[in-house]
Amino acid sequence: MPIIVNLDVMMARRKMSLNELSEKVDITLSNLSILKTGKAKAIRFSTLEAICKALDCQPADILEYQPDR
Amino acid sequence: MDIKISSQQILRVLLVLCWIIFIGVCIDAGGFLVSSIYWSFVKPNADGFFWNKLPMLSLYQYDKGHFMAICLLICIVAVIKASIFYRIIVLLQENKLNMAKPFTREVGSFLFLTAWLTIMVGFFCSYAGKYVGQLTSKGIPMSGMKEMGLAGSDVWFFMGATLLVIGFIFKRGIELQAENDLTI
Repeated sequence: MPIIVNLDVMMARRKMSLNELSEKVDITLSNLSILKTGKAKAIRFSTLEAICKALDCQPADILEYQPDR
Repeated sequence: MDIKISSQQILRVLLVLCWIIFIGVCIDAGGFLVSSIYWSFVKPNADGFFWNKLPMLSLYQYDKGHFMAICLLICIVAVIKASIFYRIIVLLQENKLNMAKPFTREVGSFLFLTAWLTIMVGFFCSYAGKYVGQLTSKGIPMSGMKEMGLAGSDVWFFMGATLLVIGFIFKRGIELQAENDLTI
């Protein structure tokens, strides 16, 4: 999929663990893991908003578009 | 007083009904198989009656090849009918129908395979109908299609086609459910 989720990069920059983020955004660890590994098919605006708020970043910091080669 | 019937209760009643039909169909299939094998490889019964009291002696005496072909058709249809009900029982017994997330690959494959089996029954019944018609036109007394378990080919075709359409809709449902499950 050409949409890349850079959640792990932002978490590393903010030095935040998956458990901590899970508690802050109120999403289960398994769902966060699906998002982090790029297996997710879609993301709700409410989830994106919560993640941006917890990581103090913009949606563009988490999502990136890379065209298929 | 308001009586509410849940889908689980309906499925339980359906399971009991399927068990009853399955046992009946299995006895029928077994009877036809044993009769066919006995008549084909040992000898016809002294009274000349087949399973279900089908008058098959005149066909047997006319031509053994035609007799075996008709027996094969009857047995194939009976066994496929039994296997369809067995698949329904397995689906209902093992609780593969999850009403919270109904669109699973198991149910999808069940629908497609059952649809093809149903169409196969329709095909064999239709072919057997023409075959029996030809034999009857030659003056061989044959029992009715219903007694031989070969009646209603059009109904089987209709059921198969309906199941196929539901199967294709179900396939799209599986994709939508997977997409919904992977929406965070």
